[in-house]
Amino acid sequence: MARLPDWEDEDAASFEPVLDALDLLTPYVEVLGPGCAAMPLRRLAGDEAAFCERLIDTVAGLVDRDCQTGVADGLLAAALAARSGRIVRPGRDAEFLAPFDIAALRHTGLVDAGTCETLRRLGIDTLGAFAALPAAAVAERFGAAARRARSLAAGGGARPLVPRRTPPEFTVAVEAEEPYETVEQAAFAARPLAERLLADLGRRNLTCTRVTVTARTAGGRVRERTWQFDPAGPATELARRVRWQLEGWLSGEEADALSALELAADGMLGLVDAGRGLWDSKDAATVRAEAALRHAQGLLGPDAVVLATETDGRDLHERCRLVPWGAGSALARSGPWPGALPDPLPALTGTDEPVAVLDAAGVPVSAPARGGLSAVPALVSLGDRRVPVIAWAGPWPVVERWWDPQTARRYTRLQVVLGDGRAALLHAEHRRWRIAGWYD
Amino acid sequence: MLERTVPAELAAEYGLRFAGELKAAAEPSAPAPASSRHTLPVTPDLSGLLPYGGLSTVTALPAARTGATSLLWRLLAGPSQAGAWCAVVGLPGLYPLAARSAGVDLDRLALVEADRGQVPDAAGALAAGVPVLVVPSAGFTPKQMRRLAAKSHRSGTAIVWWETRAVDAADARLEVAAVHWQGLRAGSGRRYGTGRLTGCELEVAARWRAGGKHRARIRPYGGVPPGNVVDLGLRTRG
Repeated sequence: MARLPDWEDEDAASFEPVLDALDLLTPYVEVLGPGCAAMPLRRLAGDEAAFCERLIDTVAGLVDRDCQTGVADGLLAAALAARSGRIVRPGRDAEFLAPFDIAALRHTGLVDAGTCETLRRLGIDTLGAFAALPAAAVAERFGAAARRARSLAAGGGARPLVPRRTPPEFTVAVEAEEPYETVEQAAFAARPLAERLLADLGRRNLTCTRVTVTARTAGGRVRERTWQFDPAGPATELARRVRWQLEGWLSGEEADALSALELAADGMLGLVDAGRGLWDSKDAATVRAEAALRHAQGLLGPDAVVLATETDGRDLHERCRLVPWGAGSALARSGPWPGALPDPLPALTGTDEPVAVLDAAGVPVSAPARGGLSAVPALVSLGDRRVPVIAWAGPWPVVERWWDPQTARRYTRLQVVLGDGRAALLHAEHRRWRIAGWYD
Repeated sequence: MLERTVPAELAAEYGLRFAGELKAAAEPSAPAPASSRHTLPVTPDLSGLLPYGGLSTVTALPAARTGATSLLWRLLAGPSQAGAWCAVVGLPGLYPLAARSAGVDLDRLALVEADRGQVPDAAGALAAGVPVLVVPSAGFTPKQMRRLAAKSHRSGTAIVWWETRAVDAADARLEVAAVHWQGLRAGSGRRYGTGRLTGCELEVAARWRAGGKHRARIRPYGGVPPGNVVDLGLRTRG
């Protein structure tokens, strides 16, 4: 924990050089407030006092500021230790905190001055006395926040630090005077935005590989999508990409006028590296292939080039998610799905045309709810043809989401090899058979 | 005193005194054909079916044959795993997760949806940079085919014609002669089928433009060819 004692009169932005100086010592810095930052020290990483000295020297040398440091297990103890420049030995947080005045509780940010005053009037005037109260009683009288404050005062409730993020500098936004109703209006506003973003980046010899388009609708909804961007591409290319996105948002089912637009660049890259074609991270062939895919996307529209990923579900359609290339990745399959068909899967999706499964006598075969089949499948009638079943396996019933009448599903799967050499996956749902997929 | 250089060390190790005692390295049994400029690796089971042992220039797959899609996925498995982008243009109805079981890296498989009229333009754009391009031949006029072949030749793209109509300028044509589905049993008086579809075996016949016919049995979804499986039940009974 590092603290600059006389910071109150300065603004947050001027704290940046201090943080940059701290970055030299450790990459994990959490900013607790203006003039106050915390960083984790690994156990046995070295002498804590020596680190504190080095920190003070670094800050003094680079930004000419005095700072105070404190070391403890928990944030609250560290914040209080920094006021007196103390180092609390491991595991002694509660002991260190006990004699502090109850007003120190306000450093947790969880209790207000009124609560501290009430506690004092109740005769609880140190953190030690507060920590000694039963947790349930504190929660009952003062609420959940005070209960957490109590556990902090007792030296517990340590949380991991949240490293600071570099501020999103490369963001350009425009507020609409009149909400954009049409694609033309929105694209007209987006174009200078794209030019401004790339000009901002160019001034710092940077370019980006991802652009996030964010739009706020007149109804207050926020829509956002991230697109890959050719780092060597011109502003017109970026403007076209934004236009596609706006077309999607303004022409969809739930279209609404847009009241604000924002473009944020991500995946920064030096212009020199971009000119070299990213060859360090990608080989030349990949760069050329991606340029060709981008070109095809330009010809056919943003959603025409898709990648497939496997996501959650048992049905063929549920399992396979097609994501436009460059629009980020879909959620991966979260784990095994018992009841899903194992590999190999059908190579072609079925046309969903109804078929009939017949037994040797030509009587339709049904799949009862309890599993099994009403008869041995012998023929499959496809249109006006009847093809004999050479071999088959199943039936494998699926009962999904029976607790929800809207999405409940019950179907049965059957694999068949037909007399013409083809193999198919059949689904029986609502007493009708259909071809879910062809093995091909 | 003899200088202890690397050649001298080697000569001492092999007991050589004169250069004439050196033998030429054994000639490879069959001279490898001159590799074309861009040859992409394919899975070992397919490499014998393709000229240069890999995917290059123009390959044709007759689409009407049962099992052709499995063969296509198997053909794309090698290049995609080697990190080369594969683009499949204008083939609706494919189920790409089957490609994964055939070994294709789905992160390198771009499915391009295009109307029939847009397929030649999209293919032209992709042929400028994508290493493997799969296109249906039906949407192309002979002139457009030649133009695409020329463009892909310049960029080193391997074209795989999905032969919905015959293509005459293919360097290799891989045709599925027969397909055997494995894992299912014939139905006989049972109400519950046993087993499940575990894979297939494709009998593939390759015909090269340079001459020569090659045949192979391909198992796109893995599996051990029969012959080295010992049926323990039979052995104990016998």
